[in-house]
Amino acid sequence: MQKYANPTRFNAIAGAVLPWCAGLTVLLFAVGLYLGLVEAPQDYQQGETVRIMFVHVPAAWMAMATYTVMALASAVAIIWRHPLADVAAKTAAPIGACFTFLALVTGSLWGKPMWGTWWVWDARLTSVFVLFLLYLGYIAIWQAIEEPTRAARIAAIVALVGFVNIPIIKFSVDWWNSLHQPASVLKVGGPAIHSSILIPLLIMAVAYTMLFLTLHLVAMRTEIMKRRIHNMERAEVAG
Amino acid sequence: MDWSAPHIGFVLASYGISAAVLGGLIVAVIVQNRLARRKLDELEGRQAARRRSANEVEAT
Repeated sequence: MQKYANPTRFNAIAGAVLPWCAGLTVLLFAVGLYLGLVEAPQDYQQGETVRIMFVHVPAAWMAMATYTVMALASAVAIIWRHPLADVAAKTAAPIGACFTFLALVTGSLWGKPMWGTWWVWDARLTSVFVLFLLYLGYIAIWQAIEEPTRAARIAAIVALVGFVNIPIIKFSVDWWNSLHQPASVLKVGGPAIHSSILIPLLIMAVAYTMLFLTLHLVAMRTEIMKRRIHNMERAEVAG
Repeated sequence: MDWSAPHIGFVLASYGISAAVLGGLIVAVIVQNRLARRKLDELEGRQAARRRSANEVEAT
């Protein structure tokens, strides 16, 4: 594992897999959008608004998955001090913030016609809003603290403490009364959605995952370059 | 998709906002990568030139 934490080796591996990841992302989005917008039937209760699910649910899943990646990378950075771990955590945050923003906005656009309101302060919606604030706070720490080692340590602690919110989001619909529906895909007893809607949803979820992977790899390579630039500029000033 | 269905505006807005945010994110990630690559190339070029001139001074 340690040998893959070498930035040069990482750059070589990322360079080789990136075109495949990007190609697969485009293909999955094309298939997922076709199935979701053209082939999937209307819902007998929700009508056409059910199609919001194909962008809302993958964004919400990726909001939580990206934070989990960030927390894991932060744990690795603190425990084993892998050179790439805090790079991985730092670069995942803006992507995760975008997914969370999309989950909140598309959820609100789905809520208005279905619930009759844009927003309620119930457990699920509030905990996802807290997740969005955690992302913004994490990004702000990296922006505010100039010394990278100190910023990495404080940001990692914040990411790990904030991880407690992920199970709260997942189980909020079971633990508290919520306007939000309970889990209908990832639940005991299997999905409660017909395959004509479930398949496009899962394809869109994989497309969002591949998009995250592609963007994360590019962002990590950028961050490695930025750190090299920072070191070279410091060396120039010093000597 | 039935374009005349009730609430179709909410569906279109969801897809439009998703496309705009994800498109913006993709552009931002690529632009930052290009800028960093250009800056690094520039610094490496400058460093190589400095090394070359130092070697020439040593040789003379």
